[in-house]
Formats: sequence, C-alpha cells, structure tokens
Amino acid sequence: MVTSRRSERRKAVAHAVAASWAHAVSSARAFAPLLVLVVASAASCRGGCASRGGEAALPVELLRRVQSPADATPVAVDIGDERDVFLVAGARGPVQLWSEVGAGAAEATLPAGGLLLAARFAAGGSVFLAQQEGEVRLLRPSDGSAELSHAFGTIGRRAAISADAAYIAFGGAVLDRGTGAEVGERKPLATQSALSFASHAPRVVSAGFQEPWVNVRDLPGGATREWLAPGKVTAAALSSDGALVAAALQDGTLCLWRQPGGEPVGSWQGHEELRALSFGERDESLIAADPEGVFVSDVAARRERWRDDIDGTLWVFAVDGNLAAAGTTDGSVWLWDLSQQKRLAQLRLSSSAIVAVDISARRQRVLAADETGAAAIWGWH
Amino acid sequence: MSSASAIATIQAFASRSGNAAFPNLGLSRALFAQALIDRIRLPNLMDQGSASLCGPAVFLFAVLRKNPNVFAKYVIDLYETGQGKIGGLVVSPGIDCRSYRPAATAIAAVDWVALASLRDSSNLFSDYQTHTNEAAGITLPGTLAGWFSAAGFSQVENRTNLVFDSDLLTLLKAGQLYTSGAYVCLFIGANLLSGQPSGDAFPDHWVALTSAVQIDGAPTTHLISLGEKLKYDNAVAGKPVSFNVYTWGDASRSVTKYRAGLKVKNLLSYFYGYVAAK
Repeated sequence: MVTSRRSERRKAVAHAVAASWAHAVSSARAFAPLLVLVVASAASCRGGCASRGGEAALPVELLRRVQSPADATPVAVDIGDERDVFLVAGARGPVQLWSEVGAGAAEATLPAGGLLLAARFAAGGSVFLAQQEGEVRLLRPSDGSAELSHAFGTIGRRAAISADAAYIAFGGAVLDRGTGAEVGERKPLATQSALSFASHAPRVVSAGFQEPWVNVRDLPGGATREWLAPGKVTAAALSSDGALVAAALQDGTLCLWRQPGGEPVGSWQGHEELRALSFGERDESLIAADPEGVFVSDVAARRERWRDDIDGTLWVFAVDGNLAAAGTTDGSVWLWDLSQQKRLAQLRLSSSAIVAVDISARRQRVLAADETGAAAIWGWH
Repeated sequence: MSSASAIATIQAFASRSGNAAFPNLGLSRALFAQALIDRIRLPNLMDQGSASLCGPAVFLFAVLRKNPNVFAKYVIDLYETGQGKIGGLVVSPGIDCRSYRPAATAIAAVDWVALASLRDSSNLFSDYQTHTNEAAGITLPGTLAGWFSAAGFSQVENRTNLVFDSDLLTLLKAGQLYTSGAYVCLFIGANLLSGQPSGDAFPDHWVALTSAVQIDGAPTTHLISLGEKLKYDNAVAGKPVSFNVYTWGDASRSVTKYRAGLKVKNLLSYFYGYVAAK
C-alpha cells in the first residue's frame, strides 16, 4: 500500500512549538540505543544531481516499537500533531492509538468496520476513517464515539479529509461537514489514482487512470473543471494555494496546469511507476518517488533537479515540509532533507516490507509499519 | 452453486495455515480470504485496476457469477499451491507472476492472483509479471473463447473482427444473447468509455454486457428481423444507443457516461464484436 503524506495539516498547525525532545528521550530510555543514520557517502545519484551539501548524520532514536494484532496487516500510520501519540491502522482494523512513551497497551482501539481506504488524525484530534464501502467517520479517541458518520452509498478507491477537517472527499463526491450535504455533482472516475485537497485553499483534485481525467472542484461552491490528461494518470496533487495542478502519467511524464483557468503550464519527463507526488514547501518544487528512489523537480524550470537512488525497492513514501521518508520492501526506512538535497538517515524496522510510513517535520518524528504488523516511531532533534 | 457454499469454502481456507504460493502479496491469509468473500458477495469488486487484464476480468466475472464456488476454489488453489483449475482450464502462473508484489493502489492482491495468473499462464511467449505489462496483457478473442470452452461453458461463440469495426446486427445479436441468459463479452476500443477522442479506436478492451441494448430508448428485438438490411439503414444508424457494461470494477457502467446521446453509427466505430457463452 502506498501512503502519500500530506504536509498540509502540519503546515496548518503553525503555532505549535515542537514537543519537548527531552521529554521524549527521557521517556524512551527503555528502548534501544541510538540507532543511526548513514549516509551521503553511500548515496548514489543520477541525472540532474546537484550538490549534496556534504555528509549528513542525523542522530535518530527509537522511541517506541509496537505490534499490531495478528492478521491486521497495516494499511496506514499517522503521527499525532497535537500530542505524543501515533496511529497504526490494520487494513480491516483495528485502528490503534499508541502513546510515544511508556510500554503499555494501546491507548485506544477503534473498529474499522470494513476495508480501510484512509485512517489518520484530523484537525481537532479526532480520527478520520474511510471504508471502501462508502462509510466515513470521525471518531473521538477518548471513547470511540462518532463526531461524524456519513455513508456515501458507493464503493470507492480513494478518500481524503481537508486540513481543517471541513470537507471530506470520497471517490467523486465531496461532503461539506458544516451543511452535512454533498458539494456539487459527483464526478466518479474509474481506477481513481488521486484525490487530495490543497493545504491552504478550498480546492480538491481528483484524477483517474483508466479514465484519464483530471477534475478540480472549488469549495464551498462545488464548481468543477475537468479535462483529459494526455495519458493515464498515476498520481496528482494541488499546490498549497491551489493555483497549480500537477499530474504524473503512466509513461513518467509530469504535467502542470494553472488554476482556475486550466491552461497547461508545461510538462517534462520524470519516472515511471510513481509511488507518490506532492508539492514541496512554497510550491517551488515537485517531490516524487518511484521504486528506485526519490526525485525533486523544479516547478519554474520544469525539469528534474535532484535525484537520490536507494538500495532496495521503495514501496511507501511520505513528505512533510522539507523532509521526506520512504519505506522499502526489505524493511528499511530512509530519510531525506529535501531543501539540502541530502540523505539524512537509514533506519531498519525489520526484514519485512514496510507498508506504511509517515513523517512529521514539526514534531521531528518518523513512523513506519511493516507487513507483519510491527511498527516503530523514531525521533531526533 | 450458491454463494453460501463458496463462502464456506473460503472460511475453511482461512482457518488453515501454510505459506502462500504468492509470497509477496503483502497481506495475511485472513485478509486475503475476506477480500475473496467480498467478491463472492459483490462480483464487480473484482477490478483490473491499472493493470491490462480486461480479458481475464470479463472471463472470471462470468465464472464468478455462474459458479462462485468454482471461482473460490480456483483462487484458493492458486494461493495455496500455485496452480488453479476452472473445469478443464488449468492455470499455472510462472514464478515471476507469483513473486510480484502488487501495490494495492494498482490492483488488489486477490485480483492479481485471479487475473494475472490466468493471463500469465496463457501466454506462450511473454510473461505477465507486473501490473505495468501492457503487451503481455492483451487477450485475443480466440484466447477468450478458448477459456470459456475449456472451463466448461456451452454455446461458446466468437464473432469478432480485429481489423474492421463490427456492425449493428452483431451488436444486436450480442444483446439478444445477453437477454437469453448468456455471458457476453464485447470487444471495443477503450476510448469509448474513457471519453478520449475516437481517433485511435482500435480494439483494445474487453467489457461484459450487463444490460439489454436499447436504441432510441426501446428494446431492439424487432430490429434483428431486419437482418443485413440494417447495414444500410441510415435512420437506425442515427438513433441514440445505450447499454451498461462491467468494467474497471463497475458492473453498471453506461457507455454514454462521456458520450451523451451516443448514436449507433458512432458506437459502432468502437465495436469489434463479441465472445459469448452459456
């Protein structure tokens, strides 16, 4: 399962001060010694590689390791923004919330109710769950009660929640939580390959693979603009201000369109089999990952400016601010500083495939889960 | 055979243990079993996703509806032994296909096992080993008809043309077969459904017919009696046509989704015939 990070929520929580590193460290004494890093000297680089900025060595410490129930293959992980808690969701549940400190049982265990498409914290601390069968819920972690429960009444492949939790997108529909009504006409796409909100603008993008359309919806009005992409779309993203739409095509082409006009801005060759696509900080770059590594493209110049290949096969990828994390099929977790264009660390969770990963720049945490249900959270400062 | 017996078969599978012949599916036996039960209950959940596996999808969609227990055993045997069987159709995917790790966002693990195994096993010269293989995923009409015959379906009929688009009479016969209870697979240009321009409407996609064919909002039975004269009937050619198909995980996909008011003559430029069986 590919899990693409969304930096929007983290960016939105601009006021917060980073959680106390000292507290985290002191609370994690029971755990393994400093795990570390690795780096630039071992890094490979191809095509458009810029200055690496010297060697990097990030002291990363294991904070906690947990185990999901047997048969609960994880499908999503999320680092809490508002307190020292993290989420590990099995494909059909349970959704477990763990404290970063201590060694006790999960703080909360929430039922999934079906095959999960999304599981993450939402603004305000509730937990957002979306099921393939069309039901979405916002649950209070304290007692598992529902703040919101809504049935879209259709099967879906993708679900998302806006940074302020005001809107929920499912398949081709968008729900306005304020009114309890859907916004505009539904626009379902076969083999939907992307569904995401702009982090700082009321806009959502959807794209399809077999139906290679890009659909942009303005909120709260619900007006949509849609156009055929020049190929099957494997991933798409909106810039934080919603002014640009990026899409990756099956053949590796990256395309940009301006909003709300929809005029094409340009395209350039990227890489095939993209795992994730998102805009970088200040929307000046596009960050993407494929099975062999991570690459950054310059939006203005419309060309790739840096790439770092890794050992093993990249399977899941997450971006937050200037930081990115990837999980590989051999159980490794890789960290990068994208602004410095350098690799920060390589961690090992296990020898099993990493199936979910998350990173928080503000909280300085990386979280990963493998297919056996083992999960670990690391921190640094 | 009932869905209940298929579900009992799957539950027995879930209670067993043992390694999968597909070692990199990335999910537990229990989750695999649950996904299989989901497809018994709702066959259109079977979805080729972003893989070029439309031929296996329409064939197995028919198997799944005709005999869910056979479908369940086929998938379970593939999972446990690496070889599955549907009637006399023996499916033995190669090691590359079995070793592949399908991303859930591309194709569900259970669909990879069911669909890609059939495609890979049937390929003489090329392996189907990743969801991005396009050329190796193409199913020719003779192959599809052969699967139906080997699997024990009756009255297998292949009325396709790889070079020229087909005619209205062929489409109406396909509709007639559907209403008589046959499983009907239409060979079309995928652009008909994706909304892309018709310029390159070569035959590249299989769909399963899931409704009667209607012309001008009415049944077409009376038109079939016109026979070959239909080819020269410009009035009928200019009338709107509609019907639903199973494709891309949707069992009731209308051919008019992106083509409101689709006319018979326009539809026919995407239509290359059918394979049907009972």
